[in-house]
Amino acid sequence: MKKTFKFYTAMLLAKCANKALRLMKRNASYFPGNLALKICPNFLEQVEKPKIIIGVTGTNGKTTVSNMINDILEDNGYKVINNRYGSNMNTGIAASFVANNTISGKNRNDIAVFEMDERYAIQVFPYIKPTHVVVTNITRDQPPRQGSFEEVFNCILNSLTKDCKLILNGDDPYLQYFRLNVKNECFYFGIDKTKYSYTKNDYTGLNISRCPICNNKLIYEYYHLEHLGNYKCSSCEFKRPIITHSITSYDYNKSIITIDNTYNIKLVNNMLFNAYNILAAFTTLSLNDMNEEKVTNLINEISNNKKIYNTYKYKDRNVYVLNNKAENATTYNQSILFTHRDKKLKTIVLGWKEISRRYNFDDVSWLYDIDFEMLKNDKIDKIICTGPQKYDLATRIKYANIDENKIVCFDDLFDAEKEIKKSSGNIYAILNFDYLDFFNEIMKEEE
Amino acid sequence: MEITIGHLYYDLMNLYGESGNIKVLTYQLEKQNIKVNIKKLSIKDEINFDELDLIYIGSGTLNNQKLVLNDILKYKNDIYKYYNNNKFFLITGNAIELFGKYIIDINNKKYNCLGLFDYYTKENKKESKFVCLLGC
Repeated sequence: MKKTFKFYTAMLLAKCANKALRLMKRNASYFPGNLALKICPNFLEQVEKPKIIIGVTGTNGKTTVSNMINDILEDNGYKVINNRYGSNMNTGIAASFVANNTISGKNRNDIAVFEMDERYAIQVFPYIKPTHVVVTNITRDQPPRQGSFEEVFNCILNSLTKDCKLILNGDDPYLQYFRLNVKNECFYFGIDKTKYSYTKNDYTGLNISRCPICNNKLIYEYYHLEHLGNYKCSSCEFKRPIITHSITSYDYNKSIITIDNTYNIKLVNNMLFNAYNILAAFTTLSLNDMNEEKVTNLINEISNNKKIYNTYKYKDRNVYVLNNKAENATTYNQSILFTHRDKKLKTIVLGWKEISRRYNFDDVSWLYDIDFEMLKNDKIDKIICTGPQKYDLATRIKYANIDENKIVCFDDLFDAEKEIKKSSGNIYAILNFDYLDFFNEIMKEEE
Repeated sequence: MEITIGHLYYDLMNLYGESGNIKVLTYQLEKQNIKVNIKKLSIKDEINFDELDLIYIGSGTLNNQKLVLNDILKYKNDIYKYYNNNKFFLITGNAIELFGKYIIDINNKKYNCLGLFDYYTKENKKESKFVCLLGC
């Protein structure tokens, strides 16, 4: 596209702003982009872009997946433009181009890797026209902000341009709505049956349980979590698609996954969604002709974000720190399933400082999409509910038919310290990120 | 004493922890020594309204709401009869819209509803919440 006078003005001023902010050691990941878009609304369309553009979107895991793809490409000598230190909205992506391109808007990179907020994809993808779009997953998340998963799906769907390749989780029947709505080429990743796959699902708040074509019930050979698994329609031809790259074995005890019967990868974070994230990155890189063995070695080298999952000892007790996003029932279901697998005595700590920092609306409906019922026959010493919605949590857990006497409430995690330390069994701390550091501080100091 | 609750369209109208309402009802009724039967029914099932003492329908995605609307309309006479027999409904979220006159979606498409009550719904593009207009 021909560059206009407005574009050059936008680039010049945004570049100056970028320089000035950097000289002042201020964050330059938003303002220069915002400025460029204000002066030249179709800045993203006019700016020169690399031939390959990978967009990573979805509810959970976009940061992990885009960083992994980015790091591996860089390690292989590619010059990559990304928004890893910036916002994942249109302004952040514009800011990356301001910082990386020349003053005349010329591209200096081989590949672009952008983490894309699912609600903002519509303001970016139609202009930058990605060659690959990875949708990690679409789960229930922040109801007051997102409305529903269907709205998020529509936002992503409407943002897709006709030539981009889609990389999707094949274990999620809901994501097949993409294939049914657009003609884009789709590639799938998935996990084969593991030791922990199960056949009876009790989740009540599933995003999909009926065939997207004929509305008859889906039947499953096995489930991994919620509606993820190997499915087919009870009536028509609809089924789990052919998987491009799959995890053929998943050793939970050793935290090792094997991709395509060949490549072993050690997981730092032994959670299902982390395995999916690695697989999403692997599939995307492999589609871009990267050597699979090299990719495997590099993934193994990358130290994953350890903050997400942590395990250590408190006296003779195992402590598992599970980072969960408040308002996201799926991440909690994953953690509850993980907790439930421990058949020994345990204590569970739950809570958050704030449900959301973005708006003043304390929605707790999502607590009823979490299958706390799974824990009702487990050996539990205490369930410790903390934070401003402690009673909402306790009420929810009481309705899961868990003995009321085991549930204790505290205004703040700080006040719960003594109770946690005098409880018994392994400790499962299922916490929002705003309680993580504090929890680790109180539990680690007496080592 | 015994009560039968019909959790209708449980697998489609399940957006915001709706099953919690059933959990709470069951828990509280059982605490009062009332036997509770929950009948989970959905599209492609035959719903027998005569055996239900309370009907619960929760909120769903727009797509699922239209699927359910299409199904529930075939029970229009049963629902009017059930209503006139002074039996109970617990309806939350956008399931309420099914009992009004009609829904107009963002593309101005009109969907006729059960018409049990004198209100209609207009879907709003900007907001993800819906406005229900009551005409008195």
